[in-house]
Amino acid sequence: MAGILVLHLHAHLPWVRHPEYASFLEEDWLFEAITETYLPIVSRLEKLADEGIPFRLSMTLSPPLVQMLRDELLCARYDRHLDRLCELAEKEVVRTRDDPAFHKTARFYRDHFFHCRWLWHERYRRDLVAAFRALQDRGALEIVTCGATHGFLPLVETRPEMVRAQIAVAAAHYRLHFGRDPVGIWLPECGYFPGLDRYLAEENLRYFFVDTHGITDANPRTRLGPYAPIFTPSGVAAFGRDPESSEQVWSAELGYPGDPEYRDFYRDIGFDLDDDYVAPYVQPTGARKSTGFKYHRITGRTDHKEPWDWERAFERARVHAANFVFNRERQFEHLSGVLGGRTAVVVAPYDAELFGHWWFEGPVFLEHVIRRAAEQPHFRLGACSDFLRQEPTNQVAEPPMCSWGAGGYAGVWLDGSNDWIYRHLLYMGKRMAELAQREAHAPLERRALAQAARELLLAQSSDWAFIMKTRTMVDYAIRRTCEHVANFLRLDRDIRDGCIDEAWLGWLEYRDNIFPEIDYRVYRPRPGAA
Amino acid sequence: MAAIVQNLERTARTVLRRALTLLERSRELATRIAEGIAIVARVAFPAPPAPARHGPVRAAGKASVRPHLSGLGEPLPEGHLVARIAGEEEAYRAPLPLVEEKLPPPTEPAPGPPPLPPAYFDGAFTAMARDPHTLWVYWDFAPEEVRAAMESIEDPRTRLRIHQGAHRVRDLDFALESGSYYVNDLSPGEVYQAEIVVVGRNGERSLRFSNPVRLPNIGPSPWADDRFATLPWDARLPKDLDAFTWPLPFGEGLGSAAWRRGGASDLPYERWRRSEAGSAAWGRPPPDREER
Repeated sequence: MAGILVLHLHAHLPWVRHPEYASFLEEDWLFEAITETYLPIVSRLEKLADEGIPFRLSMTLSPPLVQMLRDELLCARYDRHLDRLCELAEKEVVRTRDDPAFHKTARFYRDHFFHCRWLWHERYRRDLVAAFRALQDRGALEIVTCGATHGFLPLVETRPEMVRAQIAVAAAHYRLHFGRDPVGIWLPECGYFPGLDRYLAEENLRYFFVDTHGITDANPRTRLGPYAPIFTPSGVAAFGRDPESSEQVWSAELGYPGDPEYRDFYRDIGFDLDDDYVAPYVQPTGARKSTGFKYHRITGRTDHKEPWDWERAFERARVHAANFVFNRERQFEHLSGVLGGRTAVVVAPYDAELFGHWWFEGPVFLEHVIRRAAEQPHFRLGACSDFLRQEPTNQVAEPPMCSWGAGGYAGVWLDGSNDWIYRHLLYMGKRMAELAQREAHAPLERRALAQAARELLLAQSSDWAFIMKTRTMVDYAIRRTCEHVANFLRLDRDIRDGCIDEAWLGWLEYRDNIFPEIDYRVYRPRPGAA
Repeated sequence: MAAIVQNLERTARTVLRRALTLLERSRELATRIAEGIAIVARVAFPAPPAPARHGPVRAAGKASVRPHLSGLGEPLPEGHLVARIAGEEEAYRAPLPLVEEKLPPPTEPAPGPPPLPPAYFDGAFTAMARDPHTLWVYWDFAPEEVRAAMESIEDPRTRLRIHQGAHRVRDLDFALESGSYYVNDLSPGEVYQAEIVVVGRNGERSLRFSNPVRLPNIGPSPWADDRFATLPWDARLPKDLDAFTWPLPFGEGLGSAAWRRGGASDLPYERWRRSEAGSAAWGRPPPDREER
């Protein structure tokens, strides 16, 4: 066996939960990801495991995502969302009955959404975390943790308590939901700074991921490039992203998802059909949105889009999977010569939502990659822990500060559009570290301290800075940041003044109810620690 | 009855405490205004940008429908995932309004987010590495501190001084009110420290030093020194392990741990390059990474 291919899916969504509204558009991020990514992936992995196909995938389930997937309010709203999809699917079959170009697709959608509903209610009993956990327990999956709220850590390096809390809260949350210690972590945005490994070692996390240059630019110079991990000074291993396999899937020019046969992401009946017909399935205000019913394929760089044929598209995904595996075989053959007989590791990480949500045929591609990989002798699909068990001897080096964002450093999360965040975050971190020194005996004070910790964590989510930079839902990102900062400052003041508004605190606890188990003392400064 | 009295007492105490706090703060504010020193630092803390479009505002409490005006006021929420998965440029290229620039100008002002304090006056002066060439610094000084630094300096102005070890490498005139500064064109892999200095006709005075920051290096490290360690998977990592030191600490289940030089020294260094393809970087040409 020449090597191990670590196929890593990073599943993360920011914490979006708004009980104060009957309907909230950004909650669709979760609902669409469940229908298009998480359900198709978990069910396909389960099928493969049931068939006895030998494989092991690596995956992140970020703490906010886990918490949202187990939140009753969001699950109830997803029930409703799924019912509406099934209702629309039946209408679509009728609407397209005289249109052979689209009727086959309409029937496909009806079967697809009804199957999703069966999976959600009957097969997984509305608990996808348990479904992923079961796959981990069967050995088909290694689930790693992430930053508690996906906070970008290099920019809070000067506040050790904030770094530690992101990691320790995530690790505790993982134990609670997966019944074991996490062995690895996906650092939010692959953001690393020298010294971060010490915090990871405190939680006995044994490995993390960095972008390619995290390994190739490490100090001292690495011998084996991204095809072997390095041990950081604290002994935690860093695995680097393989540029070749990344490009084959991610790249606009070279990547598979841009194939003309694949489903077009943008054309959707939510924008194409009459107001009267789509009104119940778009926004309550009547404004348009995507419904998930898309009938056209990419076709090419043109506004004219041909009808999508799901059978041809799925066949193309099978061909692309075969090509992907073929290329990996050649890559491992090459690496076995270059690395002097050492086992090579190729790490191919992707945002999980790429598969299914952006690239609808992505889960089919994944299934075929797994099937084809099981049939060849050059590599096996495994997790980073499998590699470290097999190859416990590795070079000692330290990655420089790096990330996997555009440019490779902190430029995405620190520029003119979002730098105003950090003075607030770092001030909050300082105040929280002071608050955490209190011994709260009164339950109300303990609750307020825990909520202050939650508000600080929620304000740190890297998604807000990313949205501000990319100019997408900027108002929402600014509002979320400001609300969490303002909530924290008020809690801080109330706790110090000894006049906590219990009704307001109760409302906050109800709305921002992430990490119910949090212990505010995680922010206590630890002399001598990392 | 006793419980009611107790509750009333508690409420009265809370109100009194809050009133005293407010009184104290207003006294402090009055003193500052009287001294006329708040001018410099008061505006030194830029607020978040005002939302240009309709925000998701509706009073908390009773469930309601969020007024979202896609196509008129806000980009579609798909934009976030498209930007994350397919890259920022794809979100701009999309045929749907996924970014603000694709929308018509707002027809009415949007209600803003909750206001944040304009400054904390906590004396923060923090430096961060943005990329191998850029340092970002921000500050938030108390007016008293600024005033003390300016005292007896004639015609004072502020200067941002960048140090690289013992060497002063940059002197930049800047406005203290700006609150932050991007220092560009620095050298990768070097450690920098910022200093704010008050300069006048009759001399200068240091206001504060920031924390030192090492910018990330670019390209393969010039430090070539093979050190390999064996860390068995089943052993717990020793506390405060430093794998660069020799010998590695044994015990704590790490009995077979080993450390050695070499191990792959007979292999040539390979050139590997980072792919820019991936999250937030769709379609950009990969940078040319040459060995030094």
